[in-house]
Amino acid sequence: MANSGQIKNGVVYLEAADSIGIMTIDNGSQNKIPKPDFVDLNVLKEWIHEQDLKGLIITGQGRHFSAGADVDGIRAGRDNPQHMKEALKKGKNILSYIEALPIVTVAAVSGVCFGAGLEIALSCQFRICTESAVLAFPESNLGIMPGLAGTIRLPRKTGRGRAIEIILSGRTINAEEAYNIGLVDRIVQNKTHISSSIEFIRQLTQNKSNQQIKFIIEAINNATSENYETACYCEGDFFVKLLEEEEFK
Amino acid sequence: MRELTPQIKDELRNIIFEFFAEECEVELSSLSDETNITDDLDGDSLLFVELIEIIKKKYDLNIQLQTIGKYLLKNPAETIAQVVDTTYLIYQHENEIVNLGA
Repeated sequence: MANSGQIKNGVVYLEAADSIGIMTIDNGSQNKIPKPDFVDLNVLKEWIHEQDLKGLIITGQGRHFSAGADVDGIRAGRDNPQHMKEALKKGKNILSYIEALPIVTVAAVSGVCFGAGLEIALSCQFRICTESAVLAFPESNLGIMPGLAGTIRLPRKTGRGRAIEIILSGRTINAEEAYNIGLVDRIVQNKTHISSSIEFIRQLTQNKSNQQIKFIIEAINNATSENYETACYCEGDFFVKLLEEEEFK
Repeated sequence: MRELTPQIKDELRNIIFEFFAEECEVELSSLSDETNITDDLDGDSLLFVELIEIIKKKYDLNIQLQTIGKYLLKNPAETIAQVVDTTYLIYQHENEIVNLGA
């Protein structure tokens, strides 16, 4: 397995092997997110650009995906709301970038996936979680609310009413319920979340060129980010470009 | 208040021991009531969250994370025996556990 070597930035490790990148949140046993801009977006962009990836997995080091934001850090930011707003904007930009990536993105979730951790997981196209994983947006029980577009991405997955109920109650959601409400896409045996995610990406991308993957995902992303005419134009443009590729049989 | 029968007590105890053995990758036989979750198993408080979710689902309990958090602040569960005792109370009292004396 060819490995491009590991780099650390912010609280994440980035590594790639066989066209699949892995971003591992690594911050103590709970993998707390110390600040909204948990990774330097420029470093992440440059790394992704260099790797020629078909897929990206985001996961947590050790037992848990992430227990969410470091609440002490949020309290410290109370006195400087402008700085907090800017940091949240940077964090949202990171997640928007991940969401728009024209490769297969999977959050491999084990253990606890709370708050900011769940917002990171929601930026991926797919969430694969272990049988005993527990998900939640507990912010409302602390007198705050999700700040990294959780209020935007959760209702897209679960519907508006259920998202309001989940975020307002702050309750925990087990893997089975998360699957039933569309919050996660697959449940796998404990400790197999990363290997299952790798296998999932491999199966989905085998015999597909990077260009095909890029165009298909970009075209689908355009369906929600662009108007109908632009999305249709781009789809046609991508289609014609693929006709010129040697993979076209 | 739910009745905690000897059979349920045994079931809960077995679930807890099996959970820590699997999660912490240790032999079931190496665990005892005195095993410390943090010092002996390199575990953390979030393991308790996962465990309670399993028990919630199995017995259809009405217990919220913040309620358990409040209770554990006053009554920390550091050993497996303490986790077992806390789980018995959660089974019996569900969200009312927070109203029990420290």
